[in-house]
Amino acid sequence: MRLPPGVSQSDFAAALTGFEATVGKDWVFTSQEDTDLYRDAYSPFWGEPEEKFVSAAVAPASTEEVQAVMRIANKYKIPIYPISTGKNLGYGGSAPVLSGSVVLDLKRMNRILEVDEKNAFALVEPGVSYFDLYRYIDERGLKVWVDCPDPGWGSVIGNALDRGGGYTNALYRNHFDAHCGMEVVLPNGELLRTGMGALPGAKTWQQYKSGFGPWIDGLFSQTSLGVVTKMGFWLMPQPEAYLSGTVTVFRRDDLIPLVEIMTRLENQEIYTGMPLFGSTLLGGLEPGDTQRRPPPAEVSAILARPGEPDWAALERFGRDKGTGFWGCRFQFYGPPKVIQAQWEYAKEQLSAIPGAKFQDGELFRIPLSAADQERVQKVVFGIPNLSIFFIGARSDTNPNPTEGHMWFSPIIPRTGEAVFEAQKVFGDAARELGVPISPLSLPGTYWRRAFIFIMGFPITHDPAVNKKNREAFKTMVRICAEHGWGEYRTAPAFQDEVMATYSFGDHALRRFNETLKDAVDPNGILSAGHYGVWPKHLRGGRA
Amino acid sequence: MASRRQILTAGLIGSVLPLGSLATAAQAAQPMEIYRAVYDRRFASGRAFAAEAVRRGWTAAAIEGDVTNLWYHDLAVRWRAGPAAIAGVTDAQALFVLDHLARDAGMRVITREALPPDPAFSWPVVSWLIAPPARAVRA
Repeated sequence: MRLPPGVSQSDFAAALTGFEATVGKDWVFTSQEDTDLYRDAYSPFWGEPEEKFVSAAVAPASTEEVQAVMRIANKYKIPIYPISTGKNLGYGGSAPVLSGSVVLDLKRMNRILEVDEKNAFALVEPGVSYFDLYRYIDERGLKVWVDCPDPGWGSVIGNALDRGGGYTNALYRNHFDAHCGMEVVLPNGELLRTGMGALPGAKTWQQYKSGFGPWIDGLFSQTSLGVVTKMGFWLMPQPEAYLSGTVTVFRRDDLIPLVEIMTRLENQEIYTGMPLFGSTLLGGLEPGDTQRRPPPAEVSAILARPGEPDWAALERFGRDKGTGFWGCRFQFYGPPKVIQAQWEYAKEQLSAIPGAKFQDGELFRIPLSAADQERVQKVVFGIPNLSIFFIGARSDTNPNPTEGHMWFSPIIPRTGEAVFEAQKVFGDAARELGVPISPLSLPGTYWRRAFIFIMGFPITHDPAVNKKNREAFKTMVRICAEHGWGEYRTAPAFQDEVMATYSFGDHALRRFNETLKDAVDPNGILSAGHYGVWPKHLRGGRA
Repeated sequence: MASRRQILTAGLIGSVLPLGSLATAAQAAQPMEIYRAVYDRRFASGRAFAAEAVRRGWTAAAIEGDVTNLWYHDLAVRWRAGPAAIAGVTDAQALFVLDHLARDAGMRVITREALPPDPAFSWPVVSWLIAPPARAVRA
C-alpha cells in the first residue's frame, strides 16, 4: 500500500480504519487497481516518477461524513485532496497536487436539493453533474437553463470552484460569479455557511449573495481552505427564442473596431449570448471547425512560411475567395421581436467597419424540437454533451491525435491591439518552442470584460515530448507574465509557476493566502499546494 | 476461487480474434448480463460485432463516434440503478469517455484489445469490456 508523505504506516492504518467506520468499507479504496483510477488521464508527467499518485480514496455520502473524515485526517495528519467528480481534464483531473494525498471523492453526494423555477436558482451537492441537473430540469419541464461547460460531464460545483465558464448568457457564463451561497466543511471539521446561509433559518440563501460582513466565498474557489458540500447557483430563465447573426470583416486591422464594437454592444446588453469569434480564413467559427475541415491549402502555405505571416497575402485570399479575414457570430436570447431588433441595431453599429458583411442566422423557438437539438451547438442552448471529445479524435483531418492536452489560458485585455500583441508574442514563442499555436488564433469571449486565450499543449505518452512541452508551457507562463498577462487557472503541474507570477508586493497575495491557510488549517492537511498555496511545513523554507 | 473478472480476462486474452474473444467473454461471464453491446456503425468490425451480439441475445446500441445520446438516454439512467456491464467495438476515444463515465458507476475497463484499422477509415478500432471490478462480483 502506498503511504501519504510524512505519515507512518500505523497512523495511516488507523486513519483508514476511521474512514471505513465513517463511510463504510465499500467506500474506502486502497488497492492500486482502485487508486490508479484517480490518475490524471491528461497528466503531463504520465508514466514518469513525478506523476502524482493517490494513496487512498474515501467517498463520503453526506456532509456529516465529510466532517468526520476531516476530523480523522486532522488527528493523523493525513493529506486530503477533495474532488467533486474529478473530470476537469486539461486542468488536473482527479490527481492531487501533493502526491500521496488521500482523495476525498464527493461523487456520492449527488443530490439536487432544490430548483426554484420562479426565482431561477438551484441548490446542489458536489457530485451533481451538469447532465444530472439538466435531466432534473428537463424531466420536470422547468423553464430554467443551466449554463454548462463543454464537455458537460463534470460537477456543477467543481467547475464553479475551479472558476470555469460556459456558453450562454453572460450573466451565467462565469460559473463562480453565478453562484449564490455555500456550505463548507473547514479543515477542522467545522461547518460554515456563507452569505445569507449564516443566518439560521434564512429564507434567501440562494437569492442574496453577500449576507453580512466580509464576503468570503471567493476564498473557497481554487482553494485549500475548505470542502464545499452545498452550493447555490442562479439559473437562466428559459428564453422564448434564440437568434444569431454573423459579421465578416476583410482587413486584418478591422479586428480593432470589431472588438471595440463587440465589447460596447455586450456591455450595453444589446446581445447577451457569447460571441463566437475567429478567423474566417481558417474555415469556420464553431468549435472544432478547423478539426473537421482543414484550413484552405493556400492559407496553410502562407502560415507555414518562416517569420511573421504575410498579412497582405492573407487579406488578398480572404477578399478573392470571399471568406473575409475575421468573423464574429453574435447570439441573442429573448422574445423574437426584441432579439431581431437587437441584431438590427448591432448591424447598424458594425456597419461602421468598411466592407463589413452580414449574414442573418436562423431564429429558433425555445424549447427546441428534438430535430433542432441535433443540429445546433448544444451548449449554446444549455444542453450538456460530450461531443467535444470527438472533435479532437482521430479523423481524416486529424490522423494523429494526442493523448490529451494541458490548457494554457492567459487573460488579456479586451482590445484588438492586445490581441495582435498576444498573437505576435505567442507566435514568436511558438516558433521558438516548437508548439502548435496558430498566428490566427483568437481569444475566447467567455468573460465579459477580458479575453482569455486558450491553447492546448499536447500530452503524449512519450516522456521526452511531454518534458519538452512542460518546459514550453513554463516558458509561456513567464513570457505572459512579462507582458502583464496571467493565467486564470492551470493544472497542478504548473500552479506554483503561475502563482509565482502573481508577485506584486513581494508575493503579498500568496503570503496572505498562506497566512489564512496556517490559521484555518494549522496541520496543513487540506489540498496542500492547490493553486500554489502551501501549508507551513511544506513551503521548503519559503516565508 | 477465481473471480469473474479473472475468468473474463482469461477468456479474452486466450482468443486470437477479438470478436470471437468477446463472444467467449460473454459465455464465460454467465450469468453476468451484457447490458449493451456498443458498436460504432462506421466500422465493419463494429457492425459485425453488433450482429454477433444480437445473435447472442444482447441488445446492440449504435454510435457514430460521439457517445452523448447513448450516455444520456440509456447508460446514465441504467447506471443510476447500479452497475451494468457493457461490451463494445468503437474507436479509442469513445472507450475513453465511457471508461470515465463508468468509473462513477463503480465499473472500469476490464479488457481492451486493438483491432485492425477499418479499411475505410484508417484509424484504430478497439474491442473492450466495461464491468464491475473483481471485488464487486465475486464468482
